Amino acid sequence: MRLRSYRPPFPRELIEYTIDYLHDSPSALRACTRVCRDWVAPSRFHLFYHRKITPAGRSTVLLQIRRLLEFLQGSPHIAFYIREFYFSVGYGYVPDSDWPQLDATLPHLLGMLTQLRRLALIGIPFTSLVPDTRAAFRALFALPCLVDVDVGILKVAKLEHFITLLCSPLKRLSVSLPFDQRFTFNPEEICAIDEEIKAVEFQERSPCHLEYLRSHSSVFMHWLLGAQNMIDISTIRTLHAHCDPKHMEGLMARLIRRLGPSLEDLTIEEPRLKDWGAPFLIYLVIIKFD
Amino acid sequence: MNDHPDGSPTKDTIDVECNPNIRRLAVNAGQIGILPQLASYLKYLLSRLSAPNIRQITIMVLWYGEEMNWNEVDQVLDGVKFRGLREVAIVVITYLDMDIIRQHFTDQFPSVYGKGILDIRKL
Repeated sequence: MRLRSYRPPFPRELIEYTIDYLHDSPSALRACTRVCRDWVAPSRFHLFYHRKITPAGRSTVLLQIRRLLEFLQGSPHIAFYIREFYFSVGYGYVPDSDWPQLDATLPHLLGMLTQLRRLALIGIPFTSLVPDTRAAFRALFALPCLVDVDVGILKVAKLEHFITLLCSPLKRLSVSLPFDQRFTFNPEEICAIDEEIKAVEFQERSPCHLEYLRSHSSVFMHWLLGAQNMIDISTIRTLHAHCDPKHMEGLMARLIRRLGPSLEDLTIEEPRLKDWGAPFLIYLVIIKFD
Repeated sequence: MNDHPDGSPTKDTIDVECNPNIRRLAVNAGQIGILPQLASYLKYLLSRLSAPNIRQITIMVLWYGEEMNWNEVDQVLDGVKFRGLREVAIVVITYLDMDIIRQHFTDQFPSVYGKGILDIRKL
């Protein structure tokens, strides 16, 4: 009888190093999951790390949401690997007729994403959602692992509807809230969400100690620089300062002054060069001959 | 609009004088094209900066072929307070040939180029 030859196990570090190297190759990662049990978890980590829902051709948002939910309900352990979720409904790409079905599906899907560290939401009509969907989003924002939030064109009737979503673990925030007059809201919906946020506001909340901020919203900037204690700006190290439209530059200038020595990384986006006229040229002459 | 009695830029102008720990500074003018004011703006911004640990400066521009005098920016960057710089990156958004653009910026930033820290690249 022959003894089976002994094979020492492959070092775990080497497995992870190899699979990390393949992080952007889904086909290679899928092949890795079939090698052996030890290779499954690190391969799945990269395969499912980032999920994106965005309108694309015939693949509607509703269809994509349903597919993802069905997939996760069939393999609930996969939800553990999803760390980044990008959810865009585009700019009016979701027909009104789809929203009742989305409202019925979204809470189930969002409830499964318990390990998110990054959440990007584009075009979500937050104030107009049904209470269950709003509650599901609120629960996502409250995840202790969620440290990075990017919201673009979040349709909210009041800034408070957005602000009360932010929770203390948050470290990185990108905000673009247009408060566009084109958005119309039902007064009953506004009252309902006002009641919801009252309950949130009464809770004892620790401030967010932001390290990164990118803001494209003057309404948010006015609030941030005002008498608020929900976001501690003294910890911001990295700032993307949008200076367009015109009044944003002044708000960013105030924030930069307030940040003082804590600021390490500054990007000035779209400086208002067209506004640099005679007063500035006079200043240059003064400092030159001073 | 101008709140300063000495005629300095307005209260709305971004000023980095109070930020001594900036390590990376980027100006993205990629949406507005090269305006005559850009070099003056950068000169002002960099003149106000007093950050001994500054390591990287990035300028992003949209380039349609206009030439501009950047020497005053180069002179500021040649100052003693920028001796810790490791990179000055000019990121160009353009459809034109990069060789010509690279030569233009190399000529316009002689001191930065001479230190071997000028990186000109296309976005």
